[in-house]
Amino acid sequence: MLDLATILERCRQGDELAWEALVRRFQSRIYATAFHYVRDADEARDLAQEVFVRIYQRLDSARTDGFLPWILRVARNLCIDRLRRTKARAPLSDRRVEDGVEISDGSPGADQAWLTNARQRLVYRALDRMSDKSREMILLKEIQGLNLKEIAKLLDAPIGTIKSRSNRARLELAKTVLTLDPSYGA
Amino acid sequence: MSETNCTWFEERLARDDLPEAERRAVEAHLSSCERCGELYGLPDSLSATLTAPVAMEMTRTILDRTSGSSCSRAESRICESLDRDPDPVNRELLELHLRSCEACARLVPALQRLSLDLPHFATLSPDPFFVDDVKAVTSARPRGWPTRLHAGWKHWLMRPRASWELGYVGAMLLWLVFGAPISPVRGAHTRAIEALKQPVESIARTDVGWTDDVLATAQRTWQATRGIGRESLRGWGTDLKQRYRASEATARRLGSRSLEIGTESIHRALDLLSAEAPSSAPEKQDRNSIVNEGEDDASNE
Repeated sequence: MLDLATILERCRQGDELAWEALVRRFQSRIYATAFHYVRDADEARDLAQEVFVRIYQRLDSARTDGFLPWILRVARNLCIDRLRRTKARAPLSDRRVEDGVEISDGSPGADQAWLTNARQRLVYRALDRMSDKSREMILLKEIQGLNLKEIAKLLDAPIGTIKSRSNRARLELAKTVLTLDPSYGA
Repeated sequence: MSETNCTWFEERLARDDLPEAERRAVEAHLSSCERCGELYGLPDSLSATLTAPVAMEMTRTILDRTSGSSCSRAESRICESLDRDPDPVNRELLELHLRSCEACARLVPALQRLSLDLPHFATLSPDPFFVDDVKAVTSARPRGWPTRLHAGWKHWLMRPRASWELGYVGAMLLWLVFGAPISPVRGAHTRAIEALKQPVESIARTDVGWTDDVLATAQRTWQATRGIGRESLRGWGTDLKQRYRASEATARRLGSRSLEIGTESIHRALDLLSAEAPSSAPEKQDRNSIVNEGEDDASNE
């Protein structure tokens, strides 16, 4: 597999194949991130596309180290902007989580097949019941695997605050999952 | 039982690594010696009355009355232990708590399972046409500073607080233009409002020269516009020149017509004024000549 530095360098030189490789490498992450924020497959797709357009326009400033946090930051900002603009629509809690997942793909791939697993649906439902802040912490730390320092930079908050917020979010999720299914993890 | 035996017993009482024979001897001494039985047999008899639930309840009561519940501390230790190995003391303290707290004990396997399940949510495949769509959108957009400038400007405007910032800047500009002590037009808005409050006749009577200024400015603007139009179209194709001439003729007709309408309006206003104030007749005469001159110039053009 080509390393990210090479791909980025080729992208900056205008190599369209390199750009395609970059899109293919990060599309599912960006799409998943957008989906976690907006909880709507079509909107997540639009947002993911917009994220890549934004990345394309700023390729010159993209650095290899911290590339993932950077694109997640772009995705987060766009998602939050979109959510602010569409705040008047129906509240998220009114929609079933499975709706978005089912809509997202007509031909289920490996990820969607995984989501059909009952345990994952349970986790998804628990995530849906969490507050936006806690869900964001889970998304950035547990799902996308950013470290505390990267999250602190991304959210512009002290690292101690991020640490305690992350712990609280994990506990909240665990308690919610156990409320839904006491046998989870046993 | 002799004093020596009791000393021998006390020395071995606290040791866990006694050989079997010595342990039996210690137990035998405890049961046979009245003094040692009273001193060291008491805790055993006391603990025998504390069943596990009673002991837990007692611990909880004591904690409630002293330091408070230790569950929140245990929960944070559980999270920390998932991120990195805790030191042995913390681990043992946590294990002790988990043995007696069912709620916290249930959290541990749930959190462990979550840390395995959640990373699977990191990716979610969009439809197969996604890459093609992104390529189609991005290949049509040239990169470089103009694009970035445009995108940055658009992004800046799309921010929720952009309207607030624009309002602030606008208010500052208004103050600088009309309110700052160094501004040449300071207080103009107040004068304008006062002028609007006065009747039209009184304005015309007190400030006779304004219609002359308006007409002269209109003439100059017309000439300047025409000059710019000619300059910009100089050297273009014949077709464009013809179009320009046609539009110029139309504009001239429009200009003449506008002047006629304007002149007529001014005449009417001045007639009205002269009916009220006979002394303003010479001024009307002057304005007529100016208007006619302007009209002549426009038609000559």
